[in-house]
Amino acid sequence: MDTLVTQLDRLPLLSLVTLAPLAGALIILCLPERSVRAIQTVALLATGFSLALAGWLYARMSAFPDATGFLWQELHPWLPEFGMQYHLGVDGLSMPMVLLSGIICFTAAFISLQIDFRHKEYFALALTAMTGVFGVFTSLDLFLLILFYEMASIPMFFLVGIWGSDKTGVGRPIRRQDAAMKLLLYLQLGGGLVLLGIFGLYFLSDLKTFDYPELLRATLAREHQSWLFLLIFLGFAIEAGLVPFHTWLPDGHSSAPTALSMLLAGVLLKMGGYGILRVAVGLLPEGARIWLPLIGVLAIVNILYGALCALRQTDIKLMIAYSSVSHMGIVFLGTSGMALPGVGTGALFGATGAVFQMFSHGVITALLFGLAGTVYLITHSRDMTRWGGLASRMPWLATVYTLGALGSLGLPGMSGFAAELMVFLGTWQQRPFLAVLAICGLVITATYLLRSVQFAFYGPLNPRLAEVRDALPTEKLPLGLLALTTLVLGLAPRLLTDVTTPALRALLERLAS
Amino acid sequence: MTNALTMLQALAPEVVVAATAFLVMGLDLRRNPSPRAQATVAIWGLLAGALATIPDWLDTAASNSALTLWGGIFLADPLSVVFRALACVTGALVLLFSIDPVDAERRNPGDFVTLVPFVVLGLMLSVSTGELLTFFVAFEIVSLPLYLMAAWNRNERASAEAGMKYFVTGSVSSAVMLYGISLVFGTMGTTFFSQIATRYEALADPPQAFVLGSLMILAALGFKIAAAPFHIWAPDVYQGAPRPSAMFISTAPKAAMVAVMLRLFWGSLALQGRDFRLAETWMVLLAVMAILSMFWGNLVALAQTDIRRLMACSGIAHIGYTLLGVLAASRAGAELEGAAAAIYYVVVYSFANLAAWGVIVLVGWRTGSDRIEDYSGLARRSPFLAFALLISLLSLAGAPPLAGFLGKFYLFRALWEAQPAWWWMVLIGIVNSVISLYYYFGILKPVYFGAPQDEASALAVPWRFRAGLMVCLAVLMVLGLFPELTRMTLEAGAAILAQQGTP
Repeated sequence: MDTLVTQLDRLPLLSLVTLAPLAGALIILCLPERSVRAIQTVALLATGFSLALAGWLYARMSAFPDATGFLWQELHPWLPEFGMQYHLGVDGLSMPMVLLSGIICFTAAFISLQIDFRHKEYFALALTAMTGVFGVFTSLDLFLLILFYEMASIPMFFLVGIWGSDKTGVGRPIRRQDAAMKLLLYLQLGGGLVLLGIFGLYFLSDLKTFDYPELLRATLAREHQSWLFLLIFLGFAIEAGLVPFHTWLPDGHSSAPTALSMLLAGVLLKMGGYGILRVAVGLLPEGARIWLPLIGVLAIVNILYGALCALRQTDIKLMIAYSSVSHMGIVFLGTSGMALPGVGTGALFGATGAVFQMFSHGVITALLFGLAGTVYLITHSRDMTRWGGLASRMPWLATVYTLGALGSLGLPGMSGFAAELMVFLGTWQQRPFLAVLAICGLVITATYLLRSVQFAFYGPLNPRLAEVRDALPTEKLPLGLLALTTLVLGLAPRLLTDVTTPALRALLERLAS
Repeated sequence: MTNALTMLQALAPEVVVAATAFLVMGLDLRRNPSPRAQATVAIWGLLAGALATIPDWLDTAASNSALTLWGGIFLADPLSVVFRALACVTGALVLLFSIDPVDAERRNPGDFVTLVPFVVLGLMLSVSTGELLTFFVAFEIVSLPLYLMAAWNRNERASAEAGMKYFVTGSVSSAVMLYGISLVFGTMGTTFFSQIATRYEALADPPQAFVLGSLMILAALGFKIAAAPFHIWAPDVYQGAPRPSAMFISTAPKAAMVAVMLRLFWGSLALQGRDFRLAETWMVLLAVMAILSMFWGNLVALAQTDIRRLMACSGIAHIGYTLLGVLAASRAGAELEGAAAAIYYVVVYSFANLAAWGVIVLVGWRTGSDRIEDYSGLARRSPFLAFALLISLLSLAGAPPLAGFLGKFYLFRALWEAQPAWWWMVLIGIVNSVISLYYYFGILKPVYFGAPQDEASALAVPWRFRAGLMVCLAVLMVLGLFPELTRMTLEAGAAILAQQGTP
């Protein structure tokens, strides 16, 4: 057994996880347009393979809690003249994100079975984007990271524009083509700022390399760190939905096809959060000490503003999208406490909570978007006020939606509770005032989520919807998997914290020194 | 090795292309000329010309030397090899894309085919000369056929107007260049690039007339590459000229002139490292041209509804980016990276532009329209054409993993490397790239999201277009991932460095 494992470790495991979806996309390009079943099978197999391998790696990493540094590294020269290489590796910070990507990609591929036209293009683009997502989390070379980032964000333009849905009805109308363009421009602007920041790291560190472990040894002047931190933070924050750069998020997420909403909210936002922790905080500790505490204020704005906006929506996808803005605020809040001096446990609580929240919010939002999209597919309406009483016709969907909503509002026993508790505990120790404001946001969150449950699934049945179906087995499987993940993590948060703690502790030590 | 052999080897590509040009011209004199046969001969001849550069490459790349003929009138070095091969391949691709529509429209197709190898010959000479007058003559060999090609559909008002505009502005710029050359010659007593630098060094004070002459040459080159503020002719010419001619005008001369700019200014007129003040002036002018071109091109492109005008604006913007590389190359210590980045960028731009224009030529020929809204549903009418347009525009927009992304990356990197205080120019470049996404994706929006205007209208793609587009797409996709071209451009850049060192 032991020898088998050592044999397996010689394989380029992370490359396999990362590139499996892209290989699937290439196979799909070779298949004829009309063999829909084959295309779908390839997509499921490719994402399923990535998920299985990511899960296995995660299990192995959690079996060795003391392992520090990057595991399963792969290093190949690519353009040595320019200090670029193909360098992959994971640690306790990126491994949970890789697993999250595996879960979201697999379930999104399942939900994508709902797509009923232009299958070939859809799956080829979606799988390419998925490789980009995995790559951002596995790459240890900043140039490679930017490359994967772009690979994840550009296909979104086509996926949203072609297969998305328009918002009509009450309030501001949103056309999917405009939403796609907005999303593209914002994500690219974010990527551009990050690129500029990375150039700064490359040149100002005098190391002339994009290699992450090498750059960890760089010593940068305080003034440079401050500027570079701002650039890189802002770039990634645009992607993570920081107010006031969030406006692409509600439009893009609500217009996207269901599976893409899951991917966008589930992992694309997390690329931003991860980038902040990995690149901005990880490489620029001085800069982080200057700016991170201030970001706490923006985080509170995110939490409250997102929640208030969500409260006003009757379009369910738009409501979930605004709830993402609000919940990403909690990630920012947890991150912002990392650099505060003197209160070590608070910082660790906050950081762990931030990572936990990224994972938990990824799973829960993907679940909610999956459910909302499925109900939209059945009822042809995204307006919650036009649903009503659906619980009697679709009990399975209603139950799971209630479960997801409770998880999202932070009911004890669900993953959202564990994440928010950690962030609030951390913040309370450092800045009680901010914690109080953030908890106010929770009250609003509970209001809009419970109201949506009431609007959509309870009350008198809309007679127009008397003949609707419940979820199909192909929908129950992915949605059930997501719901189960939320429950398991809520009941056993250590499954996640055991993996993240060593990496976060190392990060905090770097910040403190 | 005898002298004659060296000479033959150095000149082999030019000999092959010149022979092709005359052969093609002769074929037109037959009783029943077949333009398609002429085009086939021309394409193979041009490809043979590209292959004939290989011995020069093998002889010079490793040692960074040049095969010098007639005391520097003709130089075969890695720089000239890259751009001579590029000119040949561009000419072959233009012929591949243009012969079907030109032949179908029956407007003297034989003559059109004959002009292309002559233009290529002029381009090849202009990138491999080390002397000002030879350069001027070579460039006139390029310009005259292009004026004709712009006015090819002379019965159409738009084409006649385009030809007239191109001719008038082009000849003014030629005159300006000639005057500049005479001033340089008058003050330095030589027209050889390498000698200008040595003579200048011997002088205590820079003569004002010399500075004026250099600036006039810079302005004339700015006209030829359509860099702001010398760009006004471009949109009208691209829109009015026949599509194949516009495709040619927007690629080959621009690429060659960037090479000439690097060789001429950097090697002798900017006098890097010799006179600090002159180099500074030169850098300020370049920066102004680059920034104006990027902003003008990208912002004006946002408002275009005609794809040809849009491509003209995009071309102006791309020359702006390229000039950032030339600017970086003007800074001591970063010459190699800057030159390599500019060369890489302009090569990649050529292929992306050729692919995009290939689609524009075919769609315009079949539908008779260049309005972007008429591209609606192209993905349904011809998935292959839509894909070609997608890849070429993504590369122009700088999306990875395509070559255009690496190109922008190298440019920005070189610029920062040259002078960290220029980070704001990198920022301007990045902001401009984001702006350009709006109009590139604005084209892709109707192509992929729109419905075809009339339903059952598949667009057949002739094999010549298919082959040409495949070549361009392969280049864009392969170069993005494999760094071979990077190495080549680095060596071409080193060639200029070496030339700068020779007295």
